Amino acid sequence: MLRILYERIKAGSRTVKWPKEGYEEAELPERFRGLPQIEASRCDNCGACSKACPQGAWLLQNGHYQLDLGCCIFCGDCALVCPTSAISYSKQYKLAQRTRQDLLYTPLAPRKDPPDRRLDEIRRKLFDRSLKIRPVSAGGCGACEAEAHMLSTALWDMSRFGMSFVASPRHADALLVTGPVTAQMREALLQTYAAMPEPKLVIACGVCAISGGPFAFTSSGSLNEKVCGGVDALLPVDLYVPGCPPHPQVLLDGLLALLGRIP
Amino acid sequence: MRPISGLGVTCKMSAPGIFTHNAVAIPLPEYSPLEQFREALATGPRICAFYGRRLLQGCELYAVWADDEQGNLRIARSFTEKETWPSLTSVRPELHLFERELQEQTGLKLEGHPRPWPVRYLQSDLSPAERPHYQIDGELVSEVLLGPVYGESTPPGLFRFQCAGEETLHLEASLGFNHRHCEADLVQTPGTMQGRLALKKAELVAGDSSVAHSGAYCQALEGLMAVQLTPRAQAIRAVMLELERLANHLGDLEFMARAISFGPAVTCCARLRNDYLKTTARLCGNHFARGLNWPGGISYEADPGCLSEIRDRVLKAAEQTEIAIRWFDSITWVQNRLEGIGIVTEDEARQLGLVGLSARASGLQRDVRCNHPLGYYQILQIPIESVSGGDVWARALMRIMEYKHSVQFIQTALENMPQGPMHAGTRALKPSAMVVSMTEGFRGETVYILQTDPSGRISHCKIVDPTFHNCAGLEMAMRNEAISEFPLCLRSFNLSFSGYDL
Repeated sequence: MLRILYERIKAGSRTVKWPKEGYEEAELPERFRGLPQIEASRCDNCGACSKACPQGAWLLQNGHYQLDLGCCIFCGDCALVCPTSAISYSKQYKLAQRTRQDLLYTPLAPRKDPPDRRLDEIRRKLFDRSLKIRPVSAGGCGACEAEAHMLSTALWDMSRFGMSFVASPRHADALLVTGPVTAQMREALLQTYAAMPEPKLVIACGVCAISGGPFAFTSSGSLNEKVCGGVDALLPVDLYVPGCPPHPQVLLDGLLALLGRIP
Repeated sequence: MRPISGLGVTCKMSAPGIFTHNAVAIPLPEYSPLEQFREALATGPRICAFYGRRLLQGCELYAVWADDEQGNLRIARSFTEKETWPSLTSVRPELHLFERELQEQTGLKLEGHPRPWPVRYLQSDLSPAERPHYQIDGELVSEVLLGPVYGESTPPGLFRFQCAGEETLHLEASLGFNHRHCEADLVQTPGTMQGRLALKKAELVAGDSSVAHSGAYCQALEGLMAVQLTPRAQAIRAVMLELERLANHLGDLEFMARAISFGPAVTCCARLRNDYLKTTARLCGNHFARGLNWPGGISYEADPGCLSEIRDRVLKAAEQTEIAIRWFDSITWVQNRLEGIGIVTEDEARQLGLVGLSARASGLQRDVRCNHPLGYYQILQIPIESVSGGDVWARALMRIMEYKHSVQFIQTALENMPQGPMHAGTRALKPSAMVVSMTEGFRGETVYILQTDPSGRISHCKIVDPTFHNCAGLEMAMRNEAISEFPLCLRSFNLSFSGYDL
């Protein structure tokens, strides 16, 4: 027992310093693929990115290429095929947004005012010091679940912000949904939501939960009937967290921004 | 030669089908007579896969046997015009899920199967509670239904316990909640946009085991293309597969420590798991090696600086892991708590056809890396370890032993990293061919079977995730066990229901 204590003390605190100033990129991998950037001088609108995207996430809108972060799986194929190397992935991890519309991102014509990521004031005051989250895997592959679980470990330690995972929906303020919501999980998800007390939040974690991700369509191009194609087809979603899977920092950033604890 | 199957009959040379090796393409085997095919199913070596394909008239049947001692695979094809399939489960229990899947996918009606209900409930409108199940009658027998939403960060599944008081007499897992239409979506020819999307989907079949799944899928394609990977690409694939194993084994130990409230080990293992994930991300940019494997090679640039950093990180994490592992090993109450719980004996494991870590914890020598090595595993061998307990402690011990070998393997591989290109290029697929490709993921044998049509396009894909074999192990482990031990047993098997449901 004493040896364990000694070894624990020797190991020291390993909780990440973020969101303290100056630690933005400390935990992000060197090759982390965050928000993609396009260099305006190099881009000639050739459309190679759009053709190469396996998810069809790049679309031409008003003369500029627009990326739907709710479909993007951050595979980096667009940057590879770009003939002028205009596309690069930045380390920008602030990807989570409140609405599906805010996930549409035009690198060359960015919005002047960044979208407000905070929750409405009533719910924010209720939840900003204590948020109990019930994770539900609705057909997820296991990666989003594993990344979300990381937040509850000592490393990311979300309990320092008053957030924790709970096992019962009766105790939960928020439902964290992962996976494309398979047809067989539809009813169970709705029942879980119904069991939660009001007011309640729904968080769509990962590209599958946002739009169905790679499973939205079958290989023949028709809609995949085995999945509902995202949570917002069934429930009102309060936070969308893009990524395949989202890095724990992306998810935690979204949660903290939702509660108004960071901009 | 020692008897291979549970029935003690060794493989006969007159058996149907064609012999092949891991990821070596062969022409489609001739149809074997159905009687001979059934005989081989009942008596042959370990069954890797058994499935059917509906034709316009009748039904094609395929079976793959793995002879672990000889290191070869045998593929046979047969044909039936009948609409029924007399079940062989009673003589060969490891067929039970394959036969149920056969009925669900092809519509052949099972005759004499003890539990002939669907595997994934694809065509059924039944609510989870209404699903057919095995029931024990008796005044003192109660039934507990768990799922599909249960526990914290657990994959969706439905578990039906038949209990007498606290004791579980029988557990039945009923799945299908994760079904996303994966298998049919992988029937795509590489090189096209749809083919690339299929590769992304292969990574998501079981998202925490994506190197094993995409690796097996790419190996199968390379087999059909007759492309030999460059030594460097082989080595990096093997290193990443071992890194995935390290991260997940530590994660499993964390969850097992959590189930017995062993606090210090929970925090320590969780942190170490993250260290190994971050090491994976050093090369791939994400924690789950997404986008690493491509047909014919590796997509990420592995410069020497990156590789030496990976090596340093693994060394550093391994030092810390040593400390955490010692806690498991040396603290008596931990061992006492885990020992004797969830026992699967060697004989049961063989009969149920368990694979991977769960099989090795029951004393079976089943490891694709040693029995059917491919790529870098042919050059650098990894020792096969097994323990004989078959309980939760044995499965924890297996993870501890395998972690040591994996660290050793990564160190040696990175020190002797071959030079050369990362990509060997691609070719057209062989027409009318078939390939069986296996990798040893952290859960066990991950099998991809691909088949091409006469024009050289992929015409059929079959995936067998280790969970498909090992789910029966969990059911067996819970027999005569207190129902409160379920979380611990579940974590000790760490099943991927998304891999099972496809």
